[in-house]
Amino acid sequence: MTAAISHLTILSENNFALEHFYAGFFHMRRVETDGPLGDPVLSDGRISLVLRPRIAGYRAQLDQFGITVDDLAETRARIGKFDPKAAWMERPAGHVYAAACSHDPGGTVFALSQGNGRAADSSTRPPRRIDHIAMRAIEAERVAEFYATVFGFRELDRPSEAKNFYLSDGNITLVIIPWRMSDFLGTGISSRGLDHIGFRVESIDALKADVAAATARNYRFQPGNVVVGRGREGGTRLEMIRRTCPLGRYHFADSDGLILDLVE
Amino acid sequence: MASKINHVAIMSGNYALESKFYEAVFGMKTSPRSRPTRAVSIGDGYVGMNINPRRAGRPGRLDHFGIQVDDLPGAIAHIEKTYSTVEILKRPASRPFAAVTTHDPDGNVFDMTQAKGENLKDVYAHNDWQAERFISHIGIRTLNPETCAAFYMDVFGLRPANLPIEGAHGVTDGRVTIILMPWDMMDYRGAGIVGPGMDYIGFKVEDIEKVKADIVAAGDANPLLTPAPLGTGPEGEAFLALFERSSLGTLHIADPDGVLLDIVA
Repeated sequence: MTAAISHLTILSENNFALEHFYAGFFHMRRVETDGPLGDPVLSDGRISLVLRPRIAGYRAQLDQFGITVDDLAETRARIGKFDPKAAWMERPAGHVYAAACSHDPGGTVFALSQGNGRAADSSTRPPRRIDHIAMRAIEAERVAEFYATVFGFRELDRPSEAKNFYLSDGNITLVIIPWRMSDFLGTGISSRGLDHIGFRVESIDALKADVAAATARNYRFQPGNVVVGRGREGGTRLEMIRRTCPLGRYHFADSDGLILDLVE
Repeated sequence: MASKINHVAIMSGNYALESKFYEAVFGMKTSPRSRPTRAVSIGDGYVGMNINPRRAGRPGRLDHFGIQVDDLPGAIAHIEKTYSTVEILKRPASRPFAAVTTHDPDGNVFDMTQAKGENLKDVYAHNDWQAERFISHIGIRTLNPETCAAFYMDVFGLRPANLPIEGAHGVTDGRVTIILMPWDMMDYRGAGIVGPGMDYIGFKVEDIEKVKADIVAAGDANPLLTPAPLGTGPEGEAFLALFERSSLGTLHIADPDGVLLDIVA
């Protein structure tokens, strides 16, 4: 069986503004699915980014990710074998990016769709692209084992002393960080679940220059309230992010406040 | 141990606006000694609600709750002795409520503070009046509700509460009840899926019809105070039906951010 991470979903306070942010700074292109009034769906050429509006009862956050598999029935069987308590929900036909949904042992939900399940080959690597997604999990080792066993994601060497698990679909890396409340000493405490997106760029300095130029024209591209590292608690949070996910070399946030860490 | 469930916190990109909604509709009040550069703290005479500005790295959501105890060192010692996987974190002095933050066995985060503690600020130092409309319950969806209910009863002396919600375990201090519901992804059939965590705030009010009228009046006076729509479209209808069968109230709305409110008369 083959499997590849195929999309991320953000629930946003302003999903159309977020579309311009990711299109402008990461050169992602809109994949038209439902016309100009539909939820923006962007792509870096390999991974889609679905920007949905936050509606009542939902949380404004990096909400979900999706996996394309070549055999949904086999996937369902593997999930059931690993965790008999895990739910499997068929989705209505109108869901472009989900034929079904399930969740890992920590309750992080993912969507599943039928496809070839292969990660994009190295010839389709745009200069700015999604490199990794990070989640925090209480039982990180068990959660990592779940993705490795069910989807065949390959465990990578650990690049630091951090007790993270790094799994690759051959294209992007799923970083599973143990959720420990003590990591949040001196800053606000986030719950377990999806945490941030990592982008690989051709030059961090070039991206910084793009942000500076755009912000000079229109400060709303990066309003002050989402500047990463601002204030004492913000500084502590930035240190925590660097410590617990050492992949990133530079950190900023999208216009909603979702942390983005950058690698070259 | 005497305990009070008397704190809830929302993370919001519109935190000042959110405060005005709760003031306008539920009569909550700020402290006369509020700190303008900080999160908004409002209260109903028992529960203090912090509406915190959403910062980079934090989701916008109903975020956590808090419990006041008469013996904080004793509660900490009991948790450390009995629950090896539960961490306790001392909080910065700038917090108006939390002396420490901890979590239940499922990782649901909550604050703890000492009754009459020196750290209490803002509305938490001036929250002793009678309100007609007040926070009466909070709903949490979690992976192991029975285990979590046992934790809250053991550590805080909360009492079990019988609830007409399938699979739910209630724990109460006599005024405010924590409703621990099983998180089951299948409950979201036909709607978008929300992960485990805090789900809604419940209010007890004197008259549902008066609340409805006040909601309309607030929106007429200031359209920004209009609740986020709930139950629109097929997925919205499925979501609202889930909310209705997972709660106690007869009126189900959302605040302007979309935080769910379960209103019972």
